Amino acid sequence: MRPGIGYQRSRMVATILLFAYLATPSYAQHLRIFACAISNDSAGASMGASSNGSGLYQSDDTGKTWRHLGWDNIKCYSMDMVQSSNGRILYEATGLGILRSTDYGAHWKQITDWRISEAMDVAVNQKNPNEIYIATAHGPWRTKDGGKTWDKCRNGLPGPFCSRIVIDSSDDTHILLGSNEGLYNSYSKSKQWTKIDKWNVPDSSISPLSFEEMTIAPFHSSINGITQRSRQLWFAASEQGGMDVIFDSLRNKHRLPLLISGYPMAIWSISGMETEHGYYDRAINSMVIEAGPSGSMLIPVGNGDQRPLSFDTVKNVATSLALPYADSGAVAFLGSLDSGIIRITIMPSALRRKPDWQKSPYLISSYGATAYNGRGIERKEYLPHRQIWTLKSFLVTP
Amino acid sequence: MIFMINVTNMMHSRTRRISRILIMLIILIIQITVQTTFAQSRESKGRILNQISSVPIRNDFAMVAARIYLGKDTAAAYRQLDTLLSRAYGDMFWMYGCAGLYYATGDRLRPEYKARICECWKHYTPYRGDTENHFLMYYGSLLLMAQAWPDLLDTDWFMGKSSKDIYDESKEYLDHWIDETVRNGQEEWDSPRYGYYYITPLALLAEYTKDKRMKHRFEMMLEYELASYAADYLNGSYCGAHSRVSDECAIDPHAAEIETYGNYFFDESGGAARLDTLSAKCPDIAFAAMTSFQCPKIIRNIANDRDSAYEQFSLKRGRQMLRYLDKWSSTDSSYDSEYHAPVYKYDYMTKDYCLGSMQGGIIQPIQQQSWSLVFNSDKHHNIITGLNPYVSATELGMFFPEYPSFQLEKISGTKASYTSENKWEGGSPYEHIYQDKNVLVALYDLPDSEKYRHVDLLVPCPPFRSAFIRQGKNPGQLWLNFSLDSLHVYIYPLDSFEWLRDTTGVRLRTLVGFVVYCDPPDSVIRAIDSEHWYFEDDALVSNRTQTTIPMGETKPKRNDWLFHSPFLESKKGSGILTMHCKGETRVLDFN
Repeated sequence: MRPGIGYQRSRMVATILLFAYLATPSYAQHLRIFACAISNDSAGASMGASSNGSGLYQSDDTGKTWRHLGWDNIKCYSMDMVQSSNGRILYEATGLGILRSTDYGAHWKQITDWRISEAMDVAVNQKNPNEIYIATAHGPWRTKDGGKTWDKCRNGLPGPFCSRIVIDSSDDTHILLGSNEGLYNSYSKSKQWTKIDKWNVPDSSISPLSFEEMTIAPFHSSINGITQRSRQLWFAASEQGGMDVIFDSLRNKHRLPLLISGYPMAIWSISGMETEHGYYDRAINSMVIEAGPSGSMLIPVGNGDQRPLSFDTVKNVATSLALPYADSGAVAFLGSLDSGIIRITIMPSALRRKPDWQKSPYLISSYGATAYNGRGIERKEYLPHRQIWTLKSFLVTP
Repeated sequence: MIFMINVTNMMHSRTRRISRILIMLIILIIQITVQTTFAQSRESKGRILNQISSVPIRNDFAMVAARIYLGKDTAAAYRQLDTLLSRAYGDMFWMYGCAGLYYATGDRLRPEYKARICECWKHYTPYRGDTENHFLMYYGSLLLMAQAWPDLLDTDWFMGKSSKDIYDESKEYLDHWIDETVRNGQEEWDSPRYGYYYITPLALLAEYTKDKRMKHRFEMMLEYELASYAADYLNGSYCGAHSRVSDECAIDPHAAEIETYGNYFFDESGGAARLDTLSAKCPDIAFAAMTSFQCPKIIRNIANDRDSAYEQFSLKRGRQMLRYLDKWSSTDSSYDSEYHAPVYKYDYMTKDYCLGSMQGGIIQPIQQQSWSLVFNSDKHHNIITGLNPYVSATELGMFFPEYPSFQLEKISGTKASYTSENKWEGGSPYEHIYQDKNVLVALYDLPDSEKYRHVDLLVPCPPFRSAFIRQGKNPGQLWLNFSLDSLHVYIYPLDSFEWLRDTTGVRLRTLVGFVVYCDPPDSVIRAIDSEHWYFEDDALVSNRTQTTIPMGETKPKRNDWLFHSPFLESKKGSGILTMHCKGETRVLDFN
C-alpha cells in the first residue's frame, strides 16, 4: 500500500530537519572523527614501501572535509584519544610504534623504541592515561608510565599477531585482544590471556537475536575488529569466522562473554550504533556494519531478523563507523583500502515506517548508482586516494 | 789488536746497519708497489670515485658525494643535493645516503648545506621499514647523525627525541642486531640483491663512529659480512641458496648488485677489470671507496682460493613470522622464541661450480632462492635453479601485517612476477631439498588445492655450449646430460616432464621434482649412459648394475654451528668467527 500524502509530507519535513541538523555548527563542534590512513593508493605502498599521504586525518564536520594531522609517510593503523589536565592527547598506532601529540598533531613524539613496530591498535585507559595497551603484529605491549617503559605481555598467546585491543569501559582490568588465533580475554590487565571459546546459556535479554544456527563458528580466527556498544554488548569481526556478537552478561554475573556465531565470511572491521529513541530505533535498536574485502553490510540487530543487507559494494572496506543523527537517522562511514572514505547518510524518510529490510533496503547499492526508493540516501567520497585502515569518533566538549 | 778488532767490528756493524736500512727500504718499496695493485688501494679507490663521478648525475647521494669529495663538477652536484634535500623521499635509504654524504664529504661540504641537512632531519618523517637491512640503515644513520649533532633537543628531531636518546637507542639496537647475528644467525642472509645494504652502512659506521667499542664492533661486523660472502663467492658470482634475490639475479648471478662489492673487495686489482659497468649499476660503492677500510687479505683469499673443493654448513634464521607459524613448511613447524624458522644452508664449492641449497620451505617472502648450481664463468646466466611457483595469501600474511587476501590482490602492483606461474624466485612449503656434495634432490609434494602444481627447472642456453642426451623409453626414467662450458650436469626428472622455451634457456617442467648430479664419476656416467633407472626407497637405482644414488637427508643438519667449513668456523652462541686460509687465521671475537 502506498503511503498517503500526509506521510510523504512529514517525510520531507523530516528530511529537511535532518539537513538542518547536519548543517548546525554546534553539532560539528561536538563530534570529531579521525581517519587513519596507511598509505596512498600507490601500488603496493602498504607492503614495505613508502607511504606518502598516510597518517592521521581529522574531520570536524562529520566527514565533509578532512585535515591531515601527520605524520606524513607513516603507516597509521589506529588511534586513541584521552582527556588530560593539559588538554586532549592523541595517540597514533603506526608502523614506527606509538606516536603521541599533545597539541592536536602540530608536534608528535615517538614514545616507543626499536622493540616495537607495526603497532596495529592502541588503547589508552581513560581512567589512568599512563596505562596504554598496544596490539602489534609482533604481540601486545603495555606501559604503566605513559610510555617511558614498555612490557611485552604475551602470556597465554600462541602466536604474535594482534590486530585489535580494547579496554572494557566498565572494568579497566578487563582487556580484549583480537589476535590471529581468535579473541582473547584478560582480567589481569594483560598479564595473562585466555581464549574466548566457551558457550554460556543465552541471557534472556538477547533472546530476540535468534540466529538460525546457534553454532559457534568453526574458526574464530584473525579477529580484526572489536567494538563495545554498551556494558553488555560487544561485537567482534573475524576474518574467517564471520561476525561474532558477544554478550558480556555482567547483569547475570557471567564473567565469560557469550559468543553467538554469525556466518562464515571474511570481515575486517565492525562497528555498531545504538539509539535511545527515534524512528530508527523503532525498527532496530542497534545496527552493525560489517566491512570486509567484498564490501560492507548492514546488520539490523534486535528486531528478530538479523539477515544482512547489502550496504555498499566498494571493495576492501577495512573499517566502518556508524553514528546516530540524533533521533532521526544515521550516517555511516566506510574506510576503504581502494577508495578512501565513503560517507553514506541514511535519511529518516527511509526509516519512518517499519521496513521489510530484505525487499526495501532503502540503501544505495553500489557507487551511488542506484538508490532504492529514490530519496533518503546521500553518498559521497572523501580522501579518495588513501588506504583507510580505521575510523574513530569522539565526542568533544567545546 | 783489540783496537783493530774494534775497528773491524765497527766497520762490520756499519755495513750491517746500512744493509738493514737497504733491506727495509726494499721491503717498503715492494710493499708500496704491491699495495697499489691491491684491492682498495688509494689508486683503485680514486679510480672508482672518478668513474662514478663521470656517470651522468642523478638524484643519488653517492654520486653527489663522489663529486664533492673529488671537487669535480660541484655545481651540478650541489644542484642535485638541493633536490635531494628539498624533496626528501626514500625513507631509510634517504637517511643512509644523506648520512654517508655528510660524513664522507666532511669539511668539503659547504656549511650552509650542513645546516640544511640538519633541518631536514627535523622535518622529514622517514619510515623505519620492516626488514633487517632497513633497521640497520635507519639506526645506523641515526647513530651517526646524533653523534654529529650531540646537543639537539627533542624538538629538533623528526621523532621528538633528543640526540642523546636517539644515540642511546640506536646503539642499543645495533648492539642487539650484532649479538643476534653472530650468535644465532643472520635473518636476511646471503642476499645478492640486498647484501650491499649491509656492507655500505657498516663501512660508514666503521669509519665514522667515535665510540671506540662500537667502532671496533662495526669493523668486525663488516668483516663478518664480507667473510660470509667470500665463502660463497665464485669468480664474481654469489652462490648457493639466498634469502632474497631479484627477478634478474635469480637467473643471472652477474646481474646482482653485490657483485660490484665482490669485485671491489675481492678482486686483486681492486675492481678495475669490470669497473665501468659495475660502478654505474651500484654507485653506493663510492661510500665504501671514501672510507679507509681495507678488506683483510685472508678474506680475499677465502673468496679466491678454489684449489680444493669444500663443503660449508651454515645456520641462519628465517624472517620473523607474524601469522601462520606452522605453515612455512609442510614437514617442519619448528621456530625459535621470536618466531624465526631455522635455515640449514649447505654448499659444495669447487673451482668449476658451486651447488648449494637450504632445506626448503618458506623462510622469506616472495624473493627466496632455495637452491642453485652456479658454474664458474664470466658469462651471464651461469646458473641452474628450480622451484615450485607457490602463490598464496598465507605466505604474504606470514610476514606482512596487512590483510593477507588484500595483499595478494595488490601484490601485482609491487611485485608483478609474484603471481606468475613462470617465476624464478620464491620458496614453497612443499619443497624438500636434499644435497650431498655434488648431488641434489629437489622433491615437491604438491596438493591438488594449490594454484600451480608444477615444478620448474631452468637450464641456460647458449652462449654456453649445451647439449642434452635422452636415454630410455619412458620419459619419466631418463637422464638429461647438459654440458655447460667444461661442466657436465646430469638431471633426472622424477616424473614425466615437458620442455618449455624460456627467455634465457630451457624450462623443464615436472610435477614432482628433479635430481641434479654435477660432474659424476665415470662409473656413474657409464651407468647413466647405458642403463635405465628407477626410483626406489629414497634412492635412484640402475636396473642392470644396481648402481645406487641415495637420496633423502644425506647430510646431518648442523644445529650447533653458524659456520662450519675449512674457511669459516663459528659455533652457535659463541659470538666468535674464526677464519682460516692459506695458513693464516683471523678471529672476530664479539664478546
